[in-house]
Amino acid sequence: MDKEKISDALSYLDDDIIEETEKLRQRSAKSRSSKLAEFTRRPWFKTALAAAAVIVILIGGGAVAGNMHLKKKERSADINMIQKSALMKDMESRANEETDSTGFSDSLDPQESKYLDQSATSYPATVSDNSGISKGGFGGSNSLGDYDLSYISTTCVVSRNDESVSGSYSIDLSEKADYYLETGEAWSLEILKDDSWEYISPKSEQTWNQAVYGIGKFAGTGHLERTFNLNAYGTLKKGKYRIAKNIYVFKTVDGKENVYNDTVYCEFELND
Amino acid sequence: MEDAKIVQLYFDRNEAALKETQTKYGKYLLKIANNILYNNEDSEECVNDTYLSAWNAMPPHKPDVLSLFLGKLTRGHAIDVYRKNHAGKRIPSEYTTSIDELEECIPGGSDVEANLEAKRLGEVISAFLREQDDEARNLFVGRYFYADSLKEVASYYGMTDTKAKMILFRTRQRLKEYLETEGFTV
Repeated sequence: MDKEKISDALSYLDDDIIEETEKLRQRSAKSRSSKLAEFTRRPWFKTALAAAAVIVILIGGGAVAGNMHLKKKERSADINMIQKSALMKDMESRANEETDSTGFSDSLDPQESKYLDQSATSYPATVSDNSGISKGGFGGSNSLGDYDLSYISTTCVVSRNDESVSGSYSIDLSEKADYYLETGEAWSLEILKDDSWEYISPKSEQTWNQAVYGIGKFAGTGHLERTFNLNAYGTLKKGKYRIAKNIYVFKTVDGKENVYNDTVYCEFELND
Repeated sequence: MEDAKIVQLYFDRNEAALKETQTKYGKYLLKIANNILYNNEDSEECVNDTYLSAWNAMPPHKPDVLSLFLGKLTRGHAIDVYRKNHAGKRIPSEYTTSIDELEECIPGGSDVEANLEAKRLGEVISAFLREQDDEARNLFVGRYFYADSLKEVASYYGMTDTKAKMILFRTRQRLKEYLETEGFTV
């Protein structure tokens, strides 16, 4: 069979199979870009860059202060300094861009990107101690910028009976809140492997939607509660898991002005 | 902007749909095209063709997953351009390399070609992939559908290039056996 037929055949792969990989590519890209950003934000990295710049400047300065025999070295140091400066700009730019070669961007909306570098804020969490479950709870990462996260509280309770893992999560808005929340259908189940969260793909789109469900929208003071059941995945192995769920924040009740999307996580651990 | 809202803009015949699509998926689509064409100008043209195709298709088509729909359009346009521009020539893109790899385990011969349409083969490969574990399936699709580099597919699971290469090799071997059990001579 010629190559044209092969690539044509691949165009007919089932959508859910391609979609599963696409999500994985997206996660992988985000993970790589966030690792890079985290790396370049570390204090020692900035110190090292600053030290490198100082060394280059000293070399350059030394060359300038030296005699004419050092002219070549001076030029060399100047070039080095320019290169280092370009390198620093490049590293900073790459860290801020939050995008990698796969083409996915962490900040899908330019309006959102300004909040990405703000300090992390944690959501309150409730922990359950059912048999086989060592902990459960929600945790969040990104700040909502001007929007005070203390207005949002989330709770997750996980229980286990025989081979069934089920539970519920709830999201509350305090009466002080002046914005609106919506939860979409998107969610995912992930397992912790080698200190990183790995996406567990569903067997099909149908079980994906059935396994964990919950969509709602509320404004001002509100309470949203949904249940989930992970039976669709069969027996889950021993390990740490988390359910990721998107929430959307709007400034208007009809959802026309989306301020931010964020993800909350319900973590739990199966001990046996 | 959420996908549903972007799709609604298409249905409203609002040209903001194109801008929103470009903002959200432009880089993603460019990456797909560039994996195949290895040429920025051609890739950008493909992405523009994708926006036009999306505009013409919606409505009436309402994609379940917008990114997947757009990605398939881009891949199709890129392969068309690849064939048009590079007939008989081999260009060093990831697409060329990945299809070369796959050619070894896909059936050949005129009889097979006569009986096996691309669509049927796609269905058979889909059925095969459903029997594979997550790693093997996703590495296969990443490498041969998206034409991602070996390094990129390895990064899906944080594994080494060598391990990804080995998994892909074994998957191709299993695909070859699978096609044979389905009655195809490879």
